[in-house]
Amino acid sequence: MSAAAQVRAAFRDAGVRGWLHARPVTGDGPRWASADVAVGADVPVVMASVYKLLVLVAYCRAVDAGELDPREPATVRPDRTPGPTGISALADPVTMSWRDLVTSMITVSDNAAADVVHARVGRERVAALPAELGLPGTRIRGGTADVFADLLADTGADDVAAAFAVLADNDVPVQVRALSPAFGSSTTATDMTRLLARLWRGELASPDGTAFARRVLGGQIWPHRLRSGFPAAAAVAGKTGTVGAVRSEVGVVTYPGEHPVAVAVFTHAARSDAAVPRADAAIGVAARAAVNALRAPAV
Amino acid sequence: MNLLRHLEFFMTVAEERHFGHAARRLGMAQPPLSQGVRRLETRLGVALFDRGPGGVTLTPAGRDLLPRARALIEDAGALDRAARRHAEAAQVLRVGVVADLGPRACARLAARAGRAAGRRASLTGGSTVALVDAVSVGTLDVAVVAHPAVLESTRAGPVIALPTAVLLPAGHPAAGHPGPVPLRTLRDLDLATAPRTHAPAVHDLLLDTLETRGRPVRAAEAPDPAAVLTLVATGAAFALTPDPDLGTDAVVRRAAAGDPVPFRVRVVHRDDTPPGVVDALAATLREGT
Repeated sequence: MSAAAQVRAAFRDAGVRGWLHARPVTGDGPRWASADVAVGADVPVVMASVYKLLVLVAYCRAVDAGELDPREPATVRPDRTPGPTGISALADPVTMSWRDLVTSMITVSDNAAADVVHARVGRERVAALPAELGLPGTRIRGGTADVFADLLADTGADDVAAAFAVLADNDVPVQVRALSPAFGSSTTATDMTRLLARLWRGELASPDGTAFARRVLGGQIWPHRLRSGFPAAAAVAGKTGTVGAVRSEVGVVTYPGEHPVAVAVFTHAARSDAAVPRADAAIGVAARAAVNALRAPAV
Repeated sequence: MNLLRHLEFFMTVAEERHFGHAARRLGMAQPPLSQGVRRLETRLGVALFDRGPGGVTLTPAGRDLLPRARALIEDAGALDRAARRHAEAAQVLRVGVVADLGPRACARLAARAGRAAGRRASLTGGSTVALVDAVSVGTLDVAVVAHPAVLESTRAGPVIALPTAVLLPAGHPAAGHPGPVPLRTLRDLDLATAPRTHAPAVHDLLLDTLETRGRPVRAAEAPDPAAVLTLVATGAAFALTPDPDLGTDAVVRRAAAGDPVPFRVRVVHRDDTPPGVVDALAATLREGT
């Protein structure tokens, strides 16, 4: 069975619609540059927290340009974007450096940290980044707070937790903007592997900035998606995205002594339940099938 | 001249290597066949056959042209078949209904949908995955499938929760009491259900729901309703069915105690599904049985 067929089978078995692209980040010889695995790779998909990857790149470039001091402390007040992790989960004012806010934004997908960093580097700068970096299928429209505002409006709920409960009902599928790539931030699997490959090769930031970006992505804590598809020997760096039935992760998988492979997996589950472990695991299964087809020793 | 008909003469003579045999196969006399082949040779400007004393053999040009003639004839057949499919589709509404609903509901749904479209209806049974694929590629116009399911490129109507009943072996202790059966009392039985590949998300959701309700089950996969009944009748399993007719000897039907365990369905359709069909199917499903 071809890698693409294995990927489709993994999606079908998990009860999800899925979109995937994988490509080697670097390689030897003329063949690697055109090698890839693609399943619906150019179809627009919902970004959810994957947009934080663009905020990370914008931050690294602002530091490189001398516009932002990574060690400068920033104070974030309690009326910040809600969320289950990082300073989003805390109750009191928090003061930390910009680079630590970025670390929290990526390693634990901290919504509040993402929105303040996003505002600091400039929303218009982040919005302009896809065009600047050659990502024709990517649009960044606002941050997490904007998505939540749409979600409350679309579900008629009073708070974010109640809105997610509405999304989790299997009896009443709701049409919300947050689950449609036609509204809000959207991208394609191809765009995300292109972005990761360029970031990994050091084409988007200084050597220090590139090292920082690779380190925080490698420090992401979630083990249930890309990570679940690979043995311990493989280094998995990535960024997840989740909203309702949408579950995704984009990242770079590196086996010792081999060329890194960038892979982007986006899914939309048939089930509305807040937790669908099979859908999370399918991201790992699909990524493994795609990455295995592209592995090559670094000469 | 009718080029396709003459190419058929050419192909048949080439296959039979004999004008008499070819004429018999074509159901015609030999002289008009010979004249037809000559007319074709005149039209093409090249001899197709050497007519020697030992019989008929293909000229080099005939050998080269034969596969092209065959391709043209086969394509003409494919054109006819495709046109016939289109003509049938314009008269017949192709409806799919997931087999779990039972023959009575399936037939009624298809008939109502056909009436709403002003067409004759044809019914295809099958798994949710297969029906969604068929609507997606256009070999079905509309289908009633189990929810939740990956919808591919189809459009979908509202979710309708159909009531289910518990089927259990007549010899099981829980069958001795009238009234609703607490699912916990069926602990020693497997759940007879459609194979997971028929609708993975539905299967997983049902097992998760039963587990949440304190009744973790092992699924005994049964490809069709008769196989489900057999597992129940032989004392191996219980079943939850939306089909009010499903039953046989040594099988007892009861309501499930506590929260209902619905069988959720959804109408999936295409942009070009005739208007009124989706509403007619949804209304029929809501009526119950």
